[in-house]
Amino acid sequence: MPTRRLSPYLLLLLGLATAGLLAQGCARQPDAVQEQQFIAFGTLVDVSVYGVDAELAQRAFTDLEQRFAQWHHDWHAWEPGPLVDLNTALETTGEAEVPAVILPLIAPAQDLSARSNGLFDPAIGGLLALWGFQSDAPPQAPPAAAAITAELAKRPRMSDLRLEDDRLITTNRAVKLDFGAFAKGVAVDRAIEHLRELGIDNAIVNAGGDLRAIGRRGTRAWRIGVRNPRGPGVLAVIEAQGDESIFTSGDYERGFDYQGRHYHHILDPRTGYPAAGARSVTVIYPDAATADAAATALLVAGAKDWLEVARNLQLRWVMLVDGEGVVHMTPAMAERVHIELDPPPLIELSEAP
Amino acid sequence: MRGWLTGADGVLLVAAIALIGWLYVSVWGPSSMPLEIEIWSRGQRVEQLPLAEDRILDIRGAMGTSRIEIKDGQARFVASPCTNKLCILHGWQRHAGETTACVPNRVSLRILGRDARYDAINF
Repeated sequence: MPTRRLSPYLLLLLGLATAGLLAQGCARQPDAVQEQQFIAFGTLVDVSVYGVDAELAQRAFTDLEQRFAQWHHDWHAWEPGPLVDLNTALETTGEAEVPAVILPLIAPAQDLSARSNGLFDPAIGGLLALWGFQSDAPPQAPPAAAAITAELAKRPRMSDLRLEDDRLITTNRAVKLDFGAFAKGVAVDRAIEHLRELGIDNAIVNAGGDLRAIGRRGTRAWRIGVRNPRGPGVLAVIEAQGDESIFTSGDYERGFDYQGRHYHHILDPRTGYPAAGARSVTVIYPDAATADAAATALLVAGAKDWLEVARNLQLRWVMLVDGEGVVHMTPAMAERVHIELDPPPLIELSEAP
Repeated sequence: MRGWLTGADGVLLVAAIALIGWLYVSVWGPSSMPLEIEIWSRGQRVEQLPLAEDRILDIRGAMGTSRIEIKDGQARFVASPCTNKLCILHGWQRHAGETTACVPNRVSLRILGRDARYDAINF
């Protein structure tokens, strides 16, 4: 019987198909994402990078942990440091030289405060302190109504401040800067900037649930789940498109319970009490600093006024869950969001901001 | 085909095609990898366990011990030395990518799956 051999072309084809499948399979392994967690700004910071070697990933994690610790110190509103010194100087003399590490925050915060009709206002540190939110331990009880009224009467505003080169002058000694709704966003932006300098183009920097995502996770977009503001689970999923910040502010965040009621730490500068017009607000915006301030301002604005504030801040993508659990969305956001809750909530589309 | 393939060639060919088929299903098919839970404490990954096995874990954190319960394919914080108890209020986590943390105690848990449903959670 003559010996015949399998066609070499067929063998080659089989070999290539096997190798191709194996190679693509390996590319899908979760090891392609490397991740590190650390604590900063009183929250869990989670950094994920995709498709970089272990050495570079480790360098990025170490750098970011150090930098976050530095920013935490530089911008902290009540631990001894440059911001506390600045506030003390403003209170005692009405003017002060702004430390170089704080200077870049002042003008953008003033601009965002003005465009949000003062609903985002980092000048209300006095009110936050009165409530006991400028402390690592949660407050036990709300302050007396008379004390809140007295604090509101001082009317501290970002517009009371005037920046002359690196000197800050205030017309109102009650201004006490607290960048709680802004600093985290600035830090996330700077962290992403540093990752890019290191040559990392696919990453998520997630600071306590507020994040900026760049690039992709291999062949697909980064997928971000938005937590259900009431009960466990995820309300919706959003795919990040290239370079975007996704920030959510909610009434379930840091706070305390007193006589059966929850008091959260996002205060309405108009009333002096925790914002009461919405359960949560999610914003997508290119930079994290704006997204941070915007999510705060819209939560304060509530279901009644959010669209006007969104318009002033030039936001395209907003989702707000009101006090009854109804989900309000801009048309652009509706195209991006996939609702995960079952049964799905009632959804109301707004006009475009 | 006659005169081109021997019987042995045929067996080899069928085996090779079967191998490719098996590889395709195992690599690209729906994930059959069971979900796992990953627990971090003070910046370190301290546990990675199957979510299918019920158990109670006591994890030492920065302030004290957080107790995590794994039951019926889901996991939650049941006790933690923090004051706000947000970690406990977040309840059961069951989908790949879901995460919850006791920030004061620096303990977090996350559900892992090969094709994670979420890469991060916004809250």
